[in-house]
Amino acid sequence: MSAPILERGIALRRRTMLGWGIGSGLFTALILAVFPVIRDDPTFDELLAEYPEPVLALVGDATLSSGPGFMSAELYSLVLPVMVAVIAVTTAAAALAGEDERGWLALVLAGPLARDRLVGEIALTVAVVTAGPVMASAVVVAVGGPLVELDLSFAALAAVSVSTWLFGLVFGAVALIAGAYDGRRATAVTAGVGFLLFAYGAEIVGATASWGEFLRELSPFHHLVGSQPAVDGAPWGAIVIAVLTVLAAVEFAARLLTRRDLVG
Amino acid sequence: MATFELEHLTKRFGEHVAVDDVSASAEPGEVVGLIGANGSGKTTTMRMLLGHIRPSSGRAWIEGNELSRPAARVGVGFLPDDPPLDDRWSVARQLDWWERLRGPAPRRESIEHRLGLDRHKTIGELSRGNRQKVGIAMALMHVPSLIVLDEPATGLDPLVRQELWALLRFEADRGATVLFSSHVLNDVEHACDRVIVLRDGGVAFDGAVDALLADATRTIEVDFAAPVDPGVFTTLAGVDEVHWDDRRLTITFSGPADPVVKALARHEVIEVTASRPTLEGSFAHLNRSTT
Repeated sequence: MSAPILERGIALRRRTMLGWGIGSGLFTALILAVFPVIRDDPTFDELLAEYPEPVLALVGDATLSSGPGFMSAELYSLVLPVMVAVIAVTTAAAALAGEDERGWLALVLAGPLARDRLVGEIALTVAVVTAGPVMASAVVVAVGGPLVELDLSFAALAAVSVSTWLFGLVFGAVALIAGAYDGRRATAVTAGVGFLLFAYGAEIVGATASWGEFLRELSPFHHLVGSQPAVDGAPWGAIVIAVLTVLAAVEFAARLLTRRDLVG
Repeated sequence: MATFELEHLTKRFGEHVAVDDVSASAEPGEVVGLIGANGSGKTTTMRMLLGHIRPSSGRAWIEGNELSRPAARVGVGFLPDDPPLDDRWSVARQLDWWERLRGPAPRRESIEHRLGLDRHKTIGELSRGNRQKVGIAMALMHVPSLIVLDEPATGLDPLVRQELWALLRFEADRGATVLFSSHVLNDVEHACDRVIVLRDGGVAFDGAVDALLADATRTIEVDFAAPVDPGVFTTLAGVDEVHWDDRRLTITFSGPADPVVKALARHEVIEVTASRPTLEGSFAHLNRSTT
């Protein structure tokens, strides 16, 4: 089936995808290169054990001397998920609200293209663009991991990659909803990044204060990356909920766009 | 069947009424100009016709289909003011992609040729006029039955402008309906069969260009052999203004010229200079008379 909006969305972002892919690949390679030093020095684990609980919750409550624990702490618990979330938010905001602001939606929607199909293809664009850096990182781990005796299984790598990708998509979906509702790129970015900050804050508060534990339940950090898929395996429940949430958000965004006036 | 029908369309933005009870339609083969001052409701009316914004009340159809159905817009070609093209793509790639979105475009090659498009140039390198030409090609290449253009002649040089009007006339002759807005009244006068004038969101005039021109404000300058009483002319039907200056009388009037000509004939006239009625004059007259 032809998907011209998806095709264009990817074609226009090829360089951006390449840039993010190279960036995340290089960063992953740097992290991998450091692993042998950390693994062979037990003081890092002793130091980590003295970290306060909230910090451990964010960097991954695991031993740094194990490959999966190290990768969770250094890459998969914060840096890569936040990078992917930012890419998802900016892509979703630009592809829907940004294109509305510059009048491109008005041009394509003057034809018979249905608005729900447009939103669906834009969501797929976000999914593909977001997958780039996750896959680049995974490829570097798959190739470079054995060289540094990382001991991260393919299943664990797949689990953490899928969790990270879905983590980003949840925030992209928020930006998509905000863009579909308001039609302004700034609103979409603010909503996506705002939710990212809220989720990060909720994770810290939930890990620190007993009264704030309920907040942690609202945070994708806690469910998708805080559970350390690289160490403990795929959080299937959270993955299913994330998939359903993203699909529902795309459907909701399509309905919002169908019911509102275009901006540009 | 009318190509499009607008029935009592009204659009409010909060307290502001942008379009107020507009009803209009157009038949296949018509070239219709939509004119009005800034804020008169031209763009909002076009946007409602294209389904970009929903009317607060009223309904609209394209070829019998209610606008809420995407299928209603299968036969629509649209040129926005300053078309949002993809700057990194070549002209050919932009048109290829547009063909994938809208389906096969049987007239693509002939339109590219008529507009003199350079297929290999990058969109970002194009002048405003050449970008406009790419937008025109996108609006026309699918043989649309309704062509909606917002300020289509913007940035075009006079030769390409002539080519555009010829293209639009060709489209109308094959049975398409053309609706375009312009602030250059000369273009509207040149290209349209019919004109819809919007004022304060409502239809102030809807009819043939000739009918609007008949009401146009015109000016006649007359040199007399001897002084005349200008008061004789001020009371004539249709006369708006009379100015006397050293045996030269300047009369501004609208409507039939007959009363003025007959009054002039009672005096010894040396020379008469009359301006042709223009849409600018009609538009100004219409705006004054409805204020």
